[in-house]
Amino acid sequence: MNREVIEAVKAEFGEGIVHAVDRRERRVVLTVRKEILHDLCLFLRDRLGFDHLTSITAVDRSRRVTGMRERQLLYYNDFKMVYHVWSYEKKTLVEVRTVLERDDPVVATVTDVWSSANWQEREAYDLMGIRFDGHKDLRRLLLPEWWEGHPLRKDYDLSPGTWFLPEEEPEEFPLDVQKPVFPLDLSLPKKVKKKEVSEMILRIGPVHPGNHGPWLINVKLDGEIIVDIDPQIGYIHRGLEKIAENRTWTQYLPVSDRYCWLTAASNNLSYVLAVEDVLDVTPPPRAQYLRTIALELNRLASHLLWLAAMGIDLGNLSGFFYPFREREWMLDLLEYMSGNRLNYNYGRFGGVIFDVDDKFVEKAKKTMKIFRPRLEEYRDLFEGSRIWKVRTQGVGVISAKDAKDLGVTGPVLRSTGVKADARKDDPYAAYPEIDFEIPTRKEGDVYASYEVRMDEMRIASEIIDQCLDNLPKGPVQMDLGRIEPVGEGISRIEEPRGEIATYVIGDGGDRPYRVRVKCAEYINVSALAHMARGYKIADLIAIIGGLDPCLGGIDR
Amino acid sequence: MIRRRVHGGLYAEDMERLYHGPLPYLIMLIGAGLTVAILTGTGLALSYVAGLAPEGFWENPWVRGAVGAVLWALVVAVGGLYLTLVERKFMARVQVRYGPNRWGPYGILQPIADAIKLLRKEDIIPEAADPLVMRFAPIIAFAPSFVLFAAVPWTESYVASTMDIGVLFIVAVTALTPIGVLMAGWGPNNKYNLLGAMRFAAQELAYEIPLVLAMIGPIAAAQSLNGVAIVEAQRGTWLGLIPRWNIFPQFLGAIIFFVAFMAETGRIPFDIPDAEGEIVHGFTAEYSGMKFVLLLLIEYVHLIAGAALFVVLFMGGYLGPAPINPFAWFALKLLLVILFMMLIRAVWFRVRIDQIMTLGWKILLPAALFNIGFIGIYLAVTV
Repeated sequence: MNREVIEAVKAEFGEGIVHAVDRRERRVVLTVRKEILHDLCLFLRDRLGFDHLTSITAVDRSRRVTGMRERQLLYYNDFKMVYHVWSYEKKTLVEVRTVLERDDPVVATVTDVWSSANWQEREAYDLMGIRFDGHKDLRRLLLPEWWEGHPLRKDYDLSPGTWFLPEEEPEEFPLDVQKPVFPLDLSLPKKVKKKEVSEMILRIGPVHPGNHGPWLINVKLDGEIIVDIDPQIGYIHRGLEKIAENRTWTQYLPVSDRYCWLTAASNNLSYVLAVEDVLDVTPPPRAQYLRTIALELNRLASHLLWLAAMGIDLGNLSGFFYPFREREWMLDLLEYMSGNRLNYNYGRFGGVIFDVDDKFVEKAKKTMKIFRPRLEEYRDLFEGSRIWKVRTQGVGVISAKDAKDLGVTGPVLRSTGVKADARKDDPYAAYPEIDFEIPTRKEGDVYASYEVRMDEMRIASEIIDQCLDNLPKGPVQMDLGRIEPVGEGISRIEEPRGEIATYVIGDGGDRPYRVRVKCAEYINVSALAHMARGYKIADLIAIIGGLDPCLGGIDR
Repeated sequence: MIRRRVHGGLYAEDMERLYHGPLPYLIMLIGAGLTVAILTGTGLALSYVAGLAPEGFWENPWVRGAVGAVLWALVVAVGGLYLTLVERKFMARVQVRYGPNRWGPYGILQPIADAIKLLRKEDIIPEAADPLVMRFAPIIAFAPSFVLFAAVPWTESYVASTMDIGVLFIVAVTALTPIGVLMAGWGPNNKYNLLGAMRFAAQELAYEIPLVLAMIGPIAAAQSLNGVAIVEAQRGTWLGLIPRWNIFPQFLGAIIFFVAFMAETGRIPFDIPDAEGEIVHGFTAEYSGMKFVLLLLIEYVHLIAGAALFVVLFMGGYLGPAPINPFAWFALKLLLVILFMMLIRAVWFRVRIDQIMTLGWKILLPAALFNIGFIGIYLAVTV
């Protein structure tokens, strides 16, 4: 498969392709000239079927200001753009790299190829100062408008006092500085007069019971009907990607838990797998199985919390408390495995931190046995209520084509009928050895994604059972010595909300040169405007609930 | 025993035993017995005190009005206050948790703690608000919902006003509440308040009509608008077993009335005016302190009023066998209806604005009209 892609691209573009590397199974790396980037992306999407943009990364390739020991890597005074593109059909990840000049980093936008590039390009503009030619709405995304400089650049001054508020406080309250720009207004030709009568802009957030975290949703309303939406994120942007550059590889492990507090195991493992990809090591089988158990327990805990939140969002208080009861058990099991209840910090390069004993196996089995009938209780509580169905069926409908274009992943994508799951398509941990199915639905509404998640919970508990039955003996960690990787690594894993991708670059120093994380919910919520147009405010809450946003993962 | 620590280890089986064991039900039974005893005692004591007055004293409408107002004020204030505790405890039972249990045994002092906390809250009026409208809105919204109790009979003699237009009066004053709520939506100059108030007005309008139409059944059966007369018309039994309550022949009417007053009350599944997940508790969003309490109490006062009306119209009011006095019968039935509404609140979802409108205009209204025809035929045949 890899060779086919390389040959097709070479035949089409010839000189434009600088390097084409068949890196490993399912991984192709293309280094291309900047001029052909847009055409190449179009070619990849239309002719080769690469329909999902996984992530866009901007890398500053100059010598870093901070950092202890840099060796082995050649530094250039320029920027590099890295596009990761996945094909649901070919099940291959293509990495497209191109180089931009230092003084004038401009590159053609790919928003017209994949709509999901919108926020990622805005982020690259915000944090790295890359400008995208042809992008309609190039505003800052995570940082406020009045921010000076681009923090992810290596020459950004991190000394204290320089990166807080500007010298003089802005006259207006900082919240109001950013004016909403509604996507529909952008697509309208300038001559068309906008309807102004009876339109109201409602600001939902940053603190609102329907939001699952601090973010602001600017909603343009016609009565109660949603005309357009411009979400504004970044309220809890912690600069985790920048933090990575100032920690050692191992020190960053606990930080990686904290992208999203609900999926700590997935986040952590995503980083670990990316580093293992650079180091080219495979952990021992027992560690692989333990990772799988942790991931699936984490999936159960996350989905149960989603169900609870869905209950309270739509007014059912009991729906909130019942799932929490079982979530407690999952957290207990995770605590037994890792010692932590929220940020597990379980993965290590080449294994996991703790082994488990037989008592854990017994407890986990008992819990899973009690848990599965409990799922039927929820079904009674939710599906047994007619109101639940009328509130979610036919709400937030998204088609498979749009979902792919908007980069939506996870249960929402599977609810549109696309059978895509990184656990099967791009296996990691012990998933290749486990027998499980991928639930899908056709409708693409909130109810369908609910059903997908309910099925996933049952399947997750079955996966845990299988892992416990086949748990191999042996060590759970490799001794890798000092971690100082050189090169690039990418991992793509299926977190409860979809695909989380981590891209790391090591320069042989003890600290990462660049870590890029794309969480699933980050891209999923960027599709909110598309999904919610034409529905009512009450539906917006259901749609947000169905997307299951976690602001930690969105803002990072 | 019930307060032992459940989490922190793997106690799946323990939790199983705790939630499904007999203890909670035993406690609930004892609580119910105590409630009956207290209510009966209160009724007897009140009868005794009332009997001490000279002959003809209670016939004076001024005395009746004053005493009735004080009595109902106490019931609604304390009842409304404690209804929050009942609701929280009851919902906690439904939702496998304990509910408030810190203040007093089983948390019985919790409402008082809440009240003190709310009284001490800062009373905020936003800069951009219309202060006059904002100040008066809670009073205008709350007062009418309280006045309507004048015409609700506790028993044959415990009724604040024996006016002949009793039920009509209740309907008339209920219709005043939306004015206050609309003011509460407009005054604070907040979009959430406005949306909530608009939703409230639309909902009240849609459900007022089926509510009134469903009342026509009991009124026609009693040939009177007076609350006492309506109850007295339900005296007696069929076959010496089934009480002659209106709920049995007029089942459809009772359902329509129940759904309509639930919508008027604005509770789940019809709590769209203050849907906290969507519009942040609607028209109360900008209010704090006592103003907020007044607006919040509307819900509970409406709850008590609606349940009391339901008991009077359909469940034979204060009528019941002898050992328990009529005062207690009325209160017990009231409690039963309220608990049923709380159960609904605990396990149902919230509907959407267009769905509630559809239900009101397209289903309840035709059904209520049909019900009137049905009652007419029924009464023509039986009376």
